[in-house]
Amino acid sequence: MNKCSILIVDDNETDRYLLKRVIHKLDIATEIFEAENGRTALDFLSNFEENSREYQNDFPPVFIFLDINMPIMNGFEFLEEFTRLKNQGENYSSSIIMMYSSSERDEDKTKIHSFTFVKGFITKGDLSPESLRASIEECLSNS
Amino acid sequence: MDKLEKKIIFSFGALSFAFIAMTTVILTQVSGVTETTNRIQKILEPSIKANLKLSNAINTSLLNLHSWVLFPDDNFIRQRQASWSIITKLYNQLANHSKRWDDDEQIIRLTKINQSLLLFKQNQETIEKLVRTQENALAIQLLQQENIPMALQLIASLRRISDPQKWEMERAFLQMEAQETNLTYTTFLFLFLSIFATTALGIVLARAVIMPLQRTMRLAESISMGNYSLDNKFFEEDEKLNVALRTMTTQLYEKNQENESQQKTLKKYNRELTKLNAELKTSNEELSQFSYRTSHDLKAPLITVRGLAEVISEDIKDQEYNEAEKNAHLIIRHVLKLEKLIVDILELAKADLEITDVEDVNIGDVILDIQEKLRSIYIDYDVRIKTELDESIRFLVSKIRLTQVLENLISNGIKYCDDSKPDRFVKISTIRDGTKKLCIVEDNGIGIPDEFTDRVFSMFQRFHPTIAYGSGLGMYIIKKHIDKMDGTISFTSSENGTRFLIEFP
Repeated sequence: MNKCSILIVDDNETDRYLLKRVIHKLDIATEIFEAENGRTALDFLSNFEENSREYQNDFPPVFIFLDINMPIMNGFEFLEEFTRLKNQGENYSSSIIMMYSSSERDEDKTKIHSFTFVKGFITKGDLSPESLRASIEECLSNS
Repeated sequence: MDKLEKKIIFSFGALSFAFIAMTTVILTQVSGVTETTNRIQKILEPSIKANLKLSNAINTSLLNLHSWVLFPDDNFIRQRQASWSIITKLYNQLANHSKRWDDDEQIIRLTKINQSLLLFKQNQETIEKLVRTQENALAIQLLQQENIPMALQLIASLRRISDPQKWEMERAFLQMEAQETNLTYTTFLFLFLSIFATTALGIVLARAVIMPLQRTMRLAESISMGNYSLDNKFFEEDEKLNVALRTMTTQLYEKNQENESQQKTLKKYNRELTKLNAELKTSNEELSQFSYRTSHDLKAPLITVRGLAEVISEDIKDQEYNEAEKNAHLIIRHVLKLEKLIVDILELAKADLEITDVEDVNIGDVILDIQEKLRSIYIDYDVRIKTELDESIRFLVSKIRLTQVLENLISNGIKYCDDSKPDRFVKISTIRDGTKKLCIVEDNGIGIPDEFTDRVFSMFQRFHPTIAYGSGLGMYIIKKHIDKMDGTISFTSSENGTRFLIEFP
């Protein structure tokens, strides 16, 4: 598996830290970006030209780990905005979104399945290097 | 007795009276005619006839005597005697009739005629004897000088009786004719009156019965079209039928009104029910959102803490003690947040309950207590608490609720202060506005972004997640308390700060 750039969108700094540790352990990331809610993530992604220049090969991020419950703009709202952003051009066609949430509600999972670019779902409680690797491999084989 | 009955009875009464009156008139006239007829048939006519026959018989007796004087034949004697028996008989008849005569003079005259008849008869017998004794000359002389004048006088006397009777009979006939004409006229009049009265009665009955019936029908028709509130023109006349109908209509109208008011009440209940239902729905949605968010917000930190514990054990294994210590501190921070969340959830539960009594709350004391409590929590914050209280205002509210509201607002003011401003403050003031009591909490903090204005009082809303941690329940708890105290809360916010305005009734 090739290394790639990753964006973590989560309001909980500790959760981001825990995910980063697992990613480092698997050594799959060329660069890890962080955003504390949907709004900052969206701002980061939509600033395409500047960020492309700054991060060259690492922008836009290949994997986006997205939390659901966040203040200001939550995961669902971000997915809707991101759909709009994707429809504007080809820039984000390679981005793969994986949910990273403590929620295990079927309702949330069903809602997320309506977004085709969401390829996986990691439950925070189940996070481990093994589970993350399996999820990544599964979603890569699907796409 | 109502007007209709009076009319009918009066009409029939008048008609019956007219019939009786006319019948009486006719009967009187008929009896008049009958009386006249009786008088003619039973008195006048036989009297006149007997009178005439008597005159004839007297003549015959004279004629027989005369014949006897001229030709002494016994036949004449017998004939004269027969005449006399007729004379006697006729006289008796006449005398009999005379009992019913009106004129006494005539009766006296008849009695005189009787005496004259006796003299006349004796005279004739005397003459008859003179003829038998051959004294014919004397007999003729007696006949001519005595008997004939006597006969003439008798006949004249009889005529004096019969003539007035003849005139009377003629008069009676004329009278009878007049009476008959009268009777005919009366009958015609009667017939005409009958027709007139019948017609009049018909009209009266039509007016009395059919017109109210028509009115009643119109009334019924009107009722059938649902118009129960009829005006009084239908009930002007006091008639039994209309009285019954009016009672019915009034009852119908009342029933209708009652029905309408019941429907109104029902509609009102329905509206209330719909409103209640909507409230229940909102409340249900809120509850479902609440349970979702609380379960998430309670579970999420635990998962994080578990993750941290795992990494700490890893760090210890790797002898990364600094990292382990840092992560242990993170655990403490997350557990503290969890504690705060649980406290807030409990506060929220309290806010929903009717747990406290209304009392006269001294806001100054409440603020001092809050300041004391917050001082230990926000140690690093340099924010001044200012007050400008109108001591004359008495807040009759639940002290616990008001404390919760002010504590949340003041702690928000401290948490979201603007470090770029030199003098940071939270100011609490109370003023009177008409009948309302106002409590204002204002700060010069960072303010609430415009885009979140609508969501401020919803649950689990956090707009400055990087600045301070909160459960996102604070403003929701405030709103609950304010609603329970029948107050209202509003705010204005900008980069210069936020101003909350609480109105108490």
